[in-house]
Parts: sequence; C-alpha cells; structure tokens
Amino acid sequence: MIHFQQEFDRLISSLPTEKSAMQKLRKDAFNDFLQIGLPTKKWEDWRFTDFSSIEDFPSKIVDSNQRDAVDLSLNKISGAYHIISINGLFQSSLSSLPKHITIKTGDEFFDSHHSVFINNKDSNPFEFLNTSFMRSGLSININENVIIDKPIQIINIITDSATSKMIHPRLFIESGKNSDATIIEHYYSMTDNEFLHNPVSQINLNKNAVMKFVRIVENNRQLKHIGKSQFDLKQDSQLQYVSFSCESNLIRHDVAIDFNGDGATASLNGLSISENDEHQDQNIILNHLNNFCNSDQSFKNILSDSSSGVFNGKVIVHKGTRQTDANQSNKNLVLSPSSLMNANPQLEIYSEDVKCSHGSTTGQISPEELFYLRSRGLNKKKAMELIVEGFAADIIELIQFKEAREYISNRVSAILGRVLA
Amino acid sequence: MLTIKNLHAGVNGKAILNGLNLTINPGELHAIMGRNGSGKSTLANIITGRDDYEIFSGDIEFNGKNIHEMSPEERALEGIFMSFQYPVVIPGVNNTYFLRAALNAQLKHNNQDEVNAADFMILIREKLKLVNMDETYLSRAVNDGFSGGEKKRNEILQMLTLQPKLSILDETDSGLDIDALKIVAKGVNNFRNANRSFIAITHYQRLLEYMEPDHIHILIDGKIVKSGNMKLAQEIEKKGYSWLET
Repeated sequence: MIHFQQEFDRLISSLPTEKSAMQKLRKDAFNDFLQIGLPTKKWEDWRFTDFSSIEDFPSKIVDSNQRDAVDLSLNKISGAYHIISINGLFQSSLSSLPKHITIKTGDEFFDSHHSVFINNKDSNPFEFLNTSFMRSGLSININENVIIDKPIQIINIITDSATSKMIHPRLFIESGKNSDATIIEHYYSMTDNEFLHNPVSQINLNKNAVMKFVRIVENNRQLKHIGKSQFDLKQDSQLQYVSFSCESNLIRHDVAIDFNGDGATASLNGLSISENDEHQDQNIILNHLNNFCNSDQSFKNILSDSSSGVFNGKVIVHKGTRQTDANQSNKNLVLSPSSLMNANPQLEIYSEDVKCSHGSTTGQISPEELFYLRSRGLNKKKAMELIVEGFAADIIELIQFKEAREYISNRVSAILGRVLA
Repeated sequence: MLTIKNLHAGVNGKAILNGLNLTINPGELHAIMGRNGSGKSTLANIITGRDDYEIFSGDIEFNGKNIHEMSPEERALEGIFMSFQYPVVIPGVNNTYFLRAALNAQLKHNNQDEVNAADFMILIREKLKLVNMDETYLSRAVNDGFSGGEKKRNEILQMLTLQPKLSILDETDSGLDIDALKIVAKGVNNFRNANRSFIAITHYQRLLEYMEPDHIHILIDGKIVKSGNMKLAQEIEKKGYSWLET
C-alpha cells in the first residue's frame, strides 16, 4: 500500500490549484481506502479472488499527456457516435457527438454533480481508490424525451506504454425521462504492460427511460481491471445490459442495480472468456426496492487452460414490495481439466408476493453434441468451435446493435480459434 | 458396400455384438429387427465410430476400406450417415450454418467447390419441401425446441442434403405418428437409387410397410439369427421373437 500512499501524496502536491472541496473529497476517500484496506479471503463477496498483486502494485498514475498517434480503426464500432478518451482524458477533437446530449469533464463535471462523488459506507475499497485518484471524469446528460439516433460508443484507450501504471476513469450518465439510447462502454488497451484499471460508473435512468448498455473489456494480457457499475432505475425505466470481457489477467467487476421506482425492468447479461491463468470475478447485486419490477439475469463463462472464474449473483427482494419477478441463470463451460469456476447464485427474499428462480450449471462440452456434429463430417475442432460459439451466441444475440454484435462475435471467434487449436 | 465379418464389439468393455456377419450391396435396404438390448443401436454406433464403443475382433469394411481406425468425421466424409434415434439438441448453433458447414466439409473432401450461402439457400429450400418443413427451420438452432417428429424429419433433411452412400436409420420410426412416418418414408424412398444403401433399425414392421426392404435380419444377443424377406417381418409381428431363441 506504500506505493499508493506515495503516489497519492505526489498527486495532491501536483494539483495545487484544485478546489479545496475536491481535495477534501480525495483525501477522505483515500483515508477510507486505507482504513478498510484491500479485500481479503475473509470478505464474503470477495473471497474467491486474490488481490495480493494489487497490494504490492507499484502504481503510478497514467501519463494523460502522453498521446502518440492512435489508430482507432480497430476499436471504433461503425454506425455509432464515438466518445474518445485517451489515457483518461476526453478527446473532443477525436469524438463525434450526437444532438441532445451534454458532455462535461473536469471541474465542470465535479461542480455540477458533486453528490455523485460522495462514497457511502457500502462503497468498496476500489470505489474509494477511484475517487482518490480520478482525473477529468466524464459526464453525459441525455435530454428528456429524445431518442438518440445511433449508439454512443465510449472508447477508453490506454496508450501509455510505461509499465505498472494505473488509471481511474469515472463515468456518469444521466438519462432523461422518456429518453432512449444505446451506450457502449469500451475499455481497450494498446499496451501489453501490467496495468491497473479502476473505473467507476454511475448510470441513472429517469422515469420511463430506455437504455441498452454494452460493456466491453479486452486486449491486455497483463491488465488488472477492477470496476464498479451502479445503475439507478426510476419508475418504468428499462435497462438492457450485456457485458463481454476477455484477455485480461484479472477482472473483478461489480454491478449493482437499484430499482428505485415501480415498474422498472432490467435484463443483465454477460459473457466472459478466460485463457491461460486469467481470472474473472463477476459480482452482481440487484435490489428490488419497489413494486412490479422485473429482473432477468444470464451470465456465462467460458474457461480454458488454467483460468478461473467467479459468479456471485445476489437478488434481494425487499420487504413490502409486490409483484417482483426475478430470474437468474449462470452457465459455465469448462474447456480444460485445470480450469476452475466458483458459482454462487443467491436469492434473499423478504416479501411474499414474488416470483423468483435461479440456477447455475458448470460443465464440459457434451460428448453427445460433439459426436452428433462429427458424425456429419465436421472435424473435432470445427465441431467444438460451433458448440462453444453457440454457447456464447445466446448472450451476444441479446445485443440489438448489429455492428456491436458482430464486433464481439469476431472477437469470440478469434479467441476460440486459438483456445481450441 | 459394407462388409461386416465376425464382429465382436461392445461398450465400456462389455460385449454386446457376438460374431455378427452382414454384407450390404449398393442399392439395398436392409432392415434389422430385434428386441431392446439385442445390439441394434450398438451396431449403428460401432459403424459410425462413437467414442466408448469398441471393436474387440472382426472386420468392418466400407467400400473396400477398413474403417476401424477412422474418426467419426472421416467415416462421415467417406459416406456413412446415421439418422439418430435421439437427435441431439445443440443450443445456439444455427441449422443453416451447421448444415452448410457439414456439406462444405463433404464437398471439400470430394475435391469439389464449396457452396456459397446464396446457393445453399436455394438448395436447402428444395430439400425442406421434401420433408414438409417450413422456412422457420432455417433460423432455428439445431433441434432446439423441435418436436419429436420435427427432429426425425431434420435427420432425414440432413441425409438428403449430405447425400451419403450408406444411411443408417436408427429407429427413425419410433415416436412418429402415421403422417410423420409417411413423410419420413417418402423422403427415404425418393432418395433410394442403385448406388445408395440403407440399414433401417426398427422394432416395428410398420416402418417396413412404407419402405420396402430387400432383406430383413433378426438380431438376438448380438448375432443375426435369421434373415429373410417381408414374410419374416410379418411372422415376427405375429409371433414375437421367442421362437427364434435357442
């Protein structure tokens, strides 16, 4: 932790002109971080992931000014607007923005949304860490009563090629009432060096807003990605969320959904692929705090080599709520005898007027399916590819935006091509 | 086309076929009848090369080639096809994509040009009509949500598309109502010609009324104990199998 302390002191002294309220926010958050420390094996919701590599991480904040010419053609999903952030700084000149949204960064963001940054007692250490070290941040306000005509892809690219850097992106989206938008939150690394990625996102859906949300983390074998996404759903709002993550040394992602109004619905889905000795930990908490809310979860892991995974999903139906319908499914496909999956689907129900289901399965490729395809003349590798792609397709097909679907399908095919070789 | 000599085989070390002999010439349809456990499905699995099934002794030759060491896909590419007794559901794998991939594997094996997506659609639509299936089939996953009859018709559709030399119909009639049975039988009958051979495994004489076999064999305890023509099937229907047991 000494490295974090040193870097924090350096940050504070490098920002002499920062407003005192902001500096207080950072200092309070950093004190909270030091006080609770990193998660240990004794923390119930964290115990399957080893954070000791973070403890000793020789962290240095990313150099935001380092900006070589960046080729974005590989990451831009066509048919979308693009909001580009390089090494943590929003790049206005590289971005294309739709009408009906307002973007704020830096002081402008902090001043107008101060309450967003106040961590509460439930915050995890990495949220405190984010508030301590975050830089400009990015807030997106979507107007009321508008349909954004094309999806908005927010590309967070790291180009800083120095080793042992860290970055703390902060995203805030306020989706106006009756608005309809698709957001792709995309984390992509151009370097292969060890990196700590610590994003925190807060997304508010106001009354009757519709949001289709895609989250992608990819492309750095040495990446440690520890992120939190908080969704606040007001009355009759609809969230459709699909995540895809791969090619990272360590991923821990927390998703928390609060149903803060009657009649809100959330569909939460995710696909994680792990290779080598990678580890991915997905932690979901859904708080059913109001009536007539539906949630549907489907998370899948594909594990190869000696990789490992965790699915921790909790649905809490609070006392006095009526007509909750909550379903949770977790399916894991293990491609190697040395990979390991920990699955822990949980329901906590304090109301009587509910319909809930949950289930989790972990298994290998079915020999019956494999034989069936081979008996039609497909070789073993091709047959396995079809089966695993089919397993993944259930999740990918939930993405309505065709180009995003194709982007992810291509990534999956490329990974399976080498994993099943 | 297929020559089986003194075949001893089984599953997980357990002997099920005990000295089976069978010769099938091009253009012939052979029916194999027998009780549950007599070894009918084991024979189908041995010919198609399913894992866990092993040959202890004897020979299986297909078009002059010994197939013992061939993988299931090599056997398929040589022209062996099985219509599964219980077709497997493969979630997320699209029928059209799968079947075109299988056909292209076959074409490639035969040094022929692969078929592109557009031409395949024309071809598959023709075949769908032959088994009375509608076009929603094309966008569905393999056997996913299919009724029993649809699954069996899908097997026949795959056979008509892949054009195998030897087709093994493993209890293709079981679980079918009479209308579905007629569709399946019609599909098979239209596909029959002087170069294509069939093994129809069945419990019931009913199937054989719709697709006339050239030979009927009765399998008991892993051996063919009697061979004959339709009269033999009718006798079995009346008297059962016990009169053939020693």
